[in-house]
Amino acid sequence: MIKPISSRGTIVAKTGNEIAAEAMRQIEPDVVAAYPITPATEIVQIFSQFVSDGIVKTKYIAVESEHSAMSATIAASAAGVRAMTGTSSQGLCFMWEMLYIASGLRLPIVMVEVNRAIAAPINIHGDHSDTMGARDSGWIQIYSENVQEVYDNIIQAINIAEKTQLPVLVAMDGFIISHCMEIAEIYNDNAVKLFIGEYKPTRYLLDIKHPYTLGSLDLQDYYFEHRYQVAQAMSHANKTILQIANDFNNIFGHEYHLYEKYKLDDAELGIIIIGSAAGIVKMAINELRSKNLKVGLLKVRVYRPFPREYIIKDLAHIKAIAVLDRVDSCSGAFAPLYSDVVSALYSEGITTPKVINYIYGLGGRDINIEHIKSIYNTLNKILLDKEEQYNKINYINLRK
Amino acid sequence: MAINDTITEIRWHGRGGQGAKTASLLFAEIMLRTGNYYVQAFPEYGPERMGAPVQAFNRISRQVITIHSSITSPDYIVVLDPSLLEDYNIIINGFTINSKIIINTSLSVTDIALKLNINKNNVYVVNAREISLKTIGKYIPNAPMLGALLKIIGNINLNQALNSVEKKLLEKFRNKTEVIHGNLNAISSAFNEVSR
Repeated sequence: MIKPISSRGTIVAKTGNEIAAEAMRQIEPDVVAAYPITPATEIVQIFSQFVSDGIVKTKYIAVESEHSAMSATIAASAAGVRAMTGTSSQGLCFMWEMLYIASGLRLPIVMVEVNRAIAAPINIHGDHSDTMGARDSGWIQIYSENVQEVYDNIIQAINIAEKTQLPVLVAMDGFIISHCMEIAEIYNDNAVKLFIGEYKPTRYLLDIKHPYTLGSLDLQDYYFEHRYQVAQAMSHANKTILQIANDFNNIFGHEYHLYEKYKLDDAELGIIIIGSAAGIVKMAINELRSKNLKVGLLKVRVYRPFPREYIIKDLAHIKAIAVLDRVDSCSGAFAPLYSDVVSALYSEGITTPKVINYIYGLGGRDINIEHIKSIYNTLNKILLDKEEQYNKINYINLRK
Repeated sequence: MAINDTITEIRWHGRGGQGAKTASLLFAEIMLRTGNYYVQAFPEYGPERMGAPVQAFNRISRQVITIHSSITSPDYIVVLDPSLLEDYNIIINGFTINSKIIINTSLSVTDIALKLNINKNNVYVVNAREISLKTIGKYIPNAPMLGALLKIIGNINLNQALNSVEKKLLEKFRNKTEVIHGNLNAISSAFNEVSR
């Protein structure tokens, strides 16, 4: 029997996009400005229907581009209201310069981002090229494994953004989650509204009694300090994110951390991954554990800020680790998640785990349990010193 | 009972506009509402144009479904358009001796089994064209094929299933009750008519 965990919950079958729109309906931001793009279109399409039907009081601004969508969202947020948007892939690329303005102005905007490959060649399917490109833009990045997490992450993102005064991006894998109908638990409107509370900005431009300047020229004298403040806010954000996850769990009974550990504590071989493929790794682990292989998973939920000081404690005992990136940074070195994991370990003097980098799933390329099992098999060889070649990028399910 | 402790996987084959994706979404909703199953429904997106071959998928399980890979070896294959059998290697891709295939056709089970070179015990046929013309008034094969699948998969309470579909269709066709009734009739007709 599938039952809601929370007394405030109802079981539904919804796609990632549908549940994102549902979360937005319950949040009922004051302003949503968006431009449609596959595979994120449905989010704002469904939400704009809520606006037209008078179900929400949100001011919906149908803009002519993603650049304008982010600009309008920034303006609304600066003016002093809750503002949200949604996009994907080329849309996020087109927002680029505005992303840095949102974080630099410390505006608590929440964006739902459906991960999709970037052209060329043109492709509409899921990979992390879009949001990984934005990883240094000063936005908090939270990734979702399934439809339930999309919903829960969006609700928590409102509080995270407003507490940290940083914009938050909640990501889900394009098509794999955005268009996959799954079972999820949603909570009643009042409980969600109560959890996010009323938005009370500390200061806002339309407060004519307390005028101030926002976005002025900032040269050699203060620019550095202001960017330092963004970095500081980011590095302090983890504590806030954990506190909000704790509050969320107390009310709704769904547990979240900066990352999820799956059979990791006694594992010798570990996989680190982001997004929907984590569920496939879990299935592979269940199978391998029944054969007494000590395998585990660390699924990164909050990628920015990177939970450096937390992650190392859970990885220090692992003997061989595979870091799976759904993006290729074309850097001549390694992919983003691998670089973050290795520098986190090395900076703390933890050099015992052997760490190998895999790239998978670009442009929606399938990844299955057999692929994951073969990675654990390779990790086992590394552990036994039978595999020498772990200091280069490996590719899963690629024709070379 | 056809659905056991593992995950049951279904692949729908149709042409753009025939409603394969909608059928998979309705099927998932039915399995949740009438059987309390964990479900997934997802389409395969390629070129989006009317008439192009399209696929949609379901997973049904008693356990939480965490897998998000594609479905390569389905337990049930549902074919909405008989013309897709011309390129039948795509249709029976991943077919095992335990798979079942349900086809919209006016041909017999024996003819289909011969054409696909599979055991006729794995084949079910239903004339979804005739049913949809009779019940809906135009050729939309998804509702009858949904009804046929519900029958073959077994242990489904038809009335509960129809209630679940009616609720879903009401969201979309609030002012077109004749569309809703036509579709419900198509589902129950095919449920009763599908044969081996």
